[in-house]
Amino acid sequence: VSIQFQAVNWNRQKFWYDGAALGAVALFLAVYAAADTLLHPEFTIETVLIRGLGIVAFGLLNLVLAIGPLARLDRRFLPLLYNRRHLGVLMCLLGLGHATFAVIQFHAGGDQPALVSLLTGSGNVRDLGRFPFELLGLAGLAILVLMAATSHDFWLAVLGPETWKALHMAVYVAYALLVGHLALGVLQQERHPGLAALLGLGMVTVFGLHLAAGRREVGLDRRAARPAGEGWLDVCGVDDVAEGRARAVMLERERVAVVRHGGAISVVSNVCRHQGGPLGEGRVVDGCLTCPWHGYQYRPDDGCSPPPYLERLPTYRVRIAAGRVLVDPRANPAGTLVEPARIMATGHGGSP
Amino acid sequence: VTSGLRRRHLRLVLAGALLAALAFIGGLSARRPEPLNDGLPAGLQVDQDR
Repeated sequence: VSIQFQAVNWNRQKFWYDGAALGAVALFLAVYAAADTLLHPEFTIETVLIRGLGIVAFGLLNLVLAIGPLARLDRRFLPLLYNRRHLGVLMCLLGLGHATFAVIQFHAGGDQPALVSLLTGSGNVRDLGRFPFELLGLAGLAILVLMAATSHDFWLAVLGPETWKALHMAVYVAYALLVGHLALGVLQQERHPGLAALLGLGMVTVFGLHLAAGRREVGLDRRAARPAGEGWLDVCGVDDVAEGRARAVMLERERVAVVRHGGAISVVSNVCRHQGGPLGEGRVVDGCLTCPWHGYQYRPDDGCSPPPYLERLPTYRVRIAAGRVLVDPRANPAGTLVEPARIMATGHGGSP
Repeated sequence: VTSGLRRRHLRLVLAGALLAALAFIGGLSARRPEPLNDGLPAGLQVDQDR
């Protein structure tokens, strides 16, 4: 969480994360370059770099896309999500390196400027075997560069979380373009079935994980709250939420986070103001509900981030009856203080 | 994430999956013409790197 914008809010975890990512990429490139040079002594170093950078960039893109659903399906992957943007920027830089060497190698030696040659080069859009696959790569890379350039929290604040998130979902379009770049490019030059199998496996993994995570989310949305009279909704039992934890439940159209803290229940919006993270999957740390994605914090009773931070969530009126948590589905304005519903010593108390 | 954004996310993922699958199948079914030099004696081969 930050009140001022800095290039990177470095902390110990980010150092480890970035160090591990850079180390793994460097190790892969070194091993790949050695193996490729050994197997293909006729290759120039540029050719080896084009291949190695392309493979590692696309592999990282698969990993970046898999982290989101993996973290939804299993909390143990949450640490990968914490600094996913750095992984995305690294992937974009590796892709730019691949593209730069490819343009130099294949387009810089002619009688036209390299970029003119790239954009008007040979190929036929009506013939898949000779499709100008480089243009697909260029379009995919352009989206990744736009995303990397706007990945900072400064742009998140300027655009707002919803617009920013919608913009960054263009990564799926970029992924499809890059699959086309590979399928109509390298798979035409090297028809080794292992390459096609690897590409197919990556796609099945990425989209299979998304479908599994999506199914879980749809299941949660379908568990609609039951009317409890006078406009209140019965959302869950008191014992369904552990002390110091939260639980996401669906009201009429949106999810809320039911938080149990200090022997009481509060209800706030489930949507973190930072990147829309699922607060209902967070836990209470230092008296604040803490987002599992990047650690943004909110006081459960008024939905406000602790000073000096300024984020605020809508809150909801809540009461307990016969061991059930009842919520008024009409959201209060963000930052409105709501008295938490006290849980009685019997475990199932009441409240005003 | 709000329910509207979740729905948009789902649509984009499905569109991306469909496009990627089409590109992949297109790539598998495509056949790039054999290189020009195949079958030519060494003296007549074209430098295809240029």
